[in-house]
Amino acid sequence: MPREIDISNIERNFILEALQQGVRVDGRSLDQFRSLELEFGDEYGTVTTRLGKTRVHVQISAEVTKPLEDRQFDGIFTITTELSPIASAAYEVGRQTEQEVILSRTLEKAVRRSRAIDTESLCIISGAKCWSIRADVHVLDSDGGLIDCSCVAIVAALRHFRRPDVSVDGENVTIYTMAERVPVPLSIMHNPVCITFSFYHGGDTIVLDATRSEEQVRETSATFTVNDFELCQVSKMGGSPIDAVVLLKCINTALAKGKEINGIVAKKLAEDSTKRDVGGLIAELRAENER
Amino acid sequence: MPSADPIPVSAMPLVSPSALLHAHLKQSPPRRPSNRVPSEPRAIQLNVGSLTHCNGSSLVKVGATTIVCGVRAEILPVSEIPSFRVTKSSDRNRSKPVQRKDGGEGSDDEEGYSPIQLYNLLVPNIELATGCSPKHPAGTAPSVEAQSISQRLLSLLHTSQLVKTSDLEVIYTPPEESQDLELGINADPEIKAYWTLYIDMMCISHGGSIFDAAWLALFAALKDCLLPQAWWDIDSEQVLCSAAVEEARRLELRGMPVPSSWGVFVPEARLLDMQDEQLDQYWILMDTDAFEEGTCEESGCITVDCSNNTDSILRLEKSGGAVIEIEQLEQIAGFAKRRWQQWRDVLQTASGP
Repeated sequence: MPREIDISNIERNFILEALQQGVRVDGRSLDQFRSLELEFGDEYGTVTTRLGKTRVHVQISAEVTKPLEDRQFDGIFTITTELSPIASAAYEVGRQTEQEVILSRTLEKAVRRSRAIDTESLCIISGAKCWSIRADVHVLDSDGGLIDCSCVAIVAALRHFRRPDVSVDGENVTIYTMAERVPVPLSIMHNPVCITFSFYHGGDTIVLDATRSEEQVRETSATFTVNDFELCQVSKMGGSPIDAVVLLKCINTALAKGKEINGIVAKKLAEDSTKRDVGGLIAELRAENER
Repeated sequence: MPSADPIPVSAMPLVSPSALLHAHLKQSPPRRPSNRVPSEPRAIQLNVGSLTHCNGSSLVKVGATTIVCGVRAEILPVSEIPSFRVTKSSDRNRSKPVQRKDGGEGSDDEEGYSPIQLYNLLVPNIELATGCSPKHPAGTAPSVEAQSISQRLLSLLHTSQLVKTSDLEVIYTPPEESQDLELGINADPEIKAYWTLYIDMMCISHGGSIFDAAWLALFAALKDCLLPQAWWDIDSEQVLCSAAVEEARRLELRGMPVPSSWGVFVPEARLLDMQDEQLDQYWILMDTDAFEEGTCEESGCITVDCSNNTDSILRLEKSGGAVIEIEQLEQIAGFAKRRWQQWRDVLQTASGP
């Protein structure tokens, strides 16, 4: 049974002592994120997100399928995550560990259960045809902050994705290829961002975006999912008890950080859109123009 | 002092399979433990039509390998395919919509767009967990070998385009009087449903070269397959089938692909006598059985089709080892051609109940 490499007592004491003095091993301040980089692929819906040394690749795909019996007006949206040995030697193929379940559940609640995608807009013919959107999350490198990095990657990929255009004529449904018509973006309701806080020394020290070593040393952690205007989800699974006022401060910090991260994602998406607009010819193709 | 009890002959395959195979092969002429020459395939026995409740069935016995195959045809209405797309080109090419009298090969070419692949109209599945060998006890989940063989069968079905899409279509042609050009109602024929063929195989005895026997059973079952006449009833809005056997029709299969598995036996270094034999000796064994499969490091499968007097290789697979080169491949292709002729003779004399 492979497991995480244990941290030594000297390293553990060193990290804890440094945090007590307000210093982190990699030189960041306590409330600072690692550098966030997004790389969009050639196909729509492909993104590789880098958060320090943590790397996550997300691929969005869509196909026409039959809606569920109890929700005939909704499309289907699924998130598939799997930790493989490519990310870390501690992960094993097929065997679901506790960390994988936590990652899967948190992403599910953050993105799907908070209705980031308008699944009603994925309905083509109610009860018969609907779009099924699938987000495949591949963790390439694991150095802490998996939930944060995965959530940013999924939201960026969903905003980047385009599905084929559909026209309905009676009972006939025509799905146009990418060459025939311009693909249609998904209907995004809000952009959730996961922010994970780590607590040390009985809650006296609060650290944002812990690395793997800091994650192994922490006493407890709390994950807040925020968008630009409200709190979507709170997840704190066991560990040391934390005062409610401290959690409220963390929520305010998370809201500010969430706005910042969404700004980064929006900027990267705009850059990618500009890069795809070869020669600036999209302006010439506009059908609606001012008088 | 020498051992009093020598190893019995029946234990040799367990004690040292390489030594046993090498002892047989280095004779002149070389023989196999099953008393065959290296390039000789095993005899094939074929029964078709044994399972009377199936649309098509076959029982294939190749040496110790026995596989039963049954084909079940079910109707898949087009309205139940969520990703079904109407293509204009298929309507334009269809000059005789319902009854296809001419078997023209040119008009049946499906360039790039095949409903068989898109809608999974052919579903092969092989069951090895029947207790057919000590490695496959009864009642377990499908093993890696079973999943791999099923995937290879499906891939070869798609590559060879064995089944024509037009054989699986249920087409409805509206009557001429319902056409009204002013209202925009045309009387073009349209596809209402597809036949889906579920091809299930059970391995009764595992004696090596399962893929070859499975494909032969699948081919014979598809050849024996009878599809009842199906039409679209506009009043009840469903597909009806005729129970008369005279109106049923058979599938027109394209070509006759035949796979041939081979293995390459390279003796272990300690078996060689430096003074007597060459250093790079090897033997190519066609149609390996279960014992030889365990001792050959390098194995492969070649699929040939010699129909219509043209020899073509549909597929070539090889794994392991470093012996096979171009000359050996030509030799193996010659063996496979003889295997094709053997299968054609067996198919022509296939006995039914």
